[in-house]
Amino acid sequence: MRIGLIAMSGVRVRTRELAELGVTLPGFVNRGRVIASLPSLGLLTVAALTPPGFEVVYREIQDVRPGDALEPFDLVAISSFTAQIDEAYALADRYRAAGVPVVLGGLHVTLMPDEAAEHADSIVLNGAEGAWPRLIEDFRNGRLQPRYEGLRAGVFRSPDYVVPRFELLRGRPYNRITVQTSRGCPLHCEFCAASLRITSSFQQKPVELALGEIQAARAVTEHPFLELADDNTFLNKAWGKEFLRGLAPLGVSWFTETDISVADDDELLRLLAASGCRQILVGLESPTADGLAGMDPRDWKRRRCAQYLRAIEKIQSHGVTVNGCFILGLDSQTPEVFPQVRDFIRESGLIEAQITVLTPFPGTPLYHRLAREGRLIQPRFWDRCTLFDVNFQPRNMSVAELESGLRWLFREVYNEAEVGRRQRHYMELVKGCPEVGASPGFRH
Amino acid sequence: VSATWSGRDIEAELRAVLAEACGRDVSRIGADVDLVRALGLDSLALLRLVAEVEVRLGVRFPDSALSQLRTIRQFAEAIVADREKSISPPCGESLPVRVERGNA
Repeated sequence: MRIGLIAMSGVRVRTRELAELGVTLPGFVNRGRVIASLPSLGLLTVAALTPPGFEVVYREIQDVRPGDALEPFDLVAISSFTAQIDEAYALADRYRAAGVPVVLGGLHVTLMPDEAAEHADSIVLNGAEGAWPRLIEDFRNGRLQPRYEGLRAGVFRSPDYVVPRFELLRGRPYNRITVQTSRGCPLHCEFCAASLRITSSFQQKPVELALGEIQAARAVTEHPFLELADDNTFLNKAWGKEFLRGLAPLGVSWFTETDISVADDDELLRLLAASGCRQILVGLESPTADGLAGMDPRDWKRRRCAQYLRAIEKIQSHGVTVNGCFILGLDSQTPEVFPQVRDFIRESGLIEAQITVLTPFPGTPLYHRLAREGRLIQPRFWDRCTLFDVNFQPRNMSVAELESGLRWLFREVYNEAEVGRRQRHYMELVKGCPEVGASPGFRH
Repeated sequence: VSATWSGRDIEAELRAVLAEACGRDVSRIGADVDLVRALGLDSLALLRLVAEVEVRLGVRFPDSALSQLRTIRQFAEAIVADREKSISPPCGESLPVRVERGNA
């Protein structure tokens, strides 16, 4: 039996002015391109959870051309983010019309199960661990159920834990391979639509398992650059140090997402640099403390805001760059936020900055609150959940002000001169940084 | 051509720096081949390579040119441009850059 695993990728901005602007700004599209070209770790995990006796085929949506005949499978599983979910549904409908049963899973499906169920023979909620083996057994016996619930805890423990089948990526031109060391994040920011929505608590993979996966991932690529598919890798500093000591000899360059508290620990920063960490993405969200009020239930980010500048400087002085993320349209922000973000980026020396618009992903606390307050522009806008399209009425500015402010800020931050200035800053950092050095050997 | 250096010298210097920094043979990489693809670099690794070239060859590229340094020819031309700033050739002529095409 042949199972087709189809990953959706390639988010496109819908607002025409922004899409056109992106073409002309060198710094705007870089991170978007990276995200769009990441493989689906969820489907590689599904592949590993599939028992022997099935042929498993991994495809990206780009492999499936709309006009072509459908590739023959006995079962199709599709995983998608919100922005591409309608394309996923359309593909699922095509396969089902051809008599091929379809399974849908992923974050959006977990948050909007009833909607997804209309386009699938079966849906998988939460992670695939604890669900997919049962689903396959039922499929084999001709009694596929409409809904399976995967584990929300204990996913990194035997017998449910598996190493994703990275070898399915062999021969494909990925710039980065994803590996997960944790699932969830205790900060619980209102807007977050990441893995915390499919977990009951923060879960960290044992160090030996994480390192084993990294070795498996690096074996399939000539130039290993790993992206940790975590929401907050270094919550546990002791775990982090053990992980980094084990990672350093493996000779990979890598990227992850974490919070600003990594700057609290000098030893952790030294180990980060020595292990090949090239960049951490940190959700700064807003340049002022006022803008962060109510962001997370414990007001952690607001309390940390005063340390942002010093923390960024300290992290980057170790040769690890910070990609600072900002969200525009937060309730306490006024149009003054646009120059504030620009000035903060310049003053902080951030090597990279990711500027997005507040996005009420369906099923998140933010979505429910804005719906209650009557501030969603339309009830269903999934293809506009791109992080750049405005889908709600901001509290202290108009939609037009937010859209034009975003475009203004993009021109200010991502123009050639500013990108060149940040590139120069990075080069000068590494020239004077013993942990990284200007002669890195590239770790390949 | 300058009495002390030429485009070919620059190419040789450049290839030596690349080979050492990347730890691999770069002699077969063509002058117009994208180094990011040929060497499997990410964007930050490319910048570290540019920094290494600056340090080793004693040059400084304009910030506005950093994004455009992707091939050996582009590097060589930028090095020449930088050196031209400090060395005035006779009769104000530009120094020619001749970069050999590799096999890749």
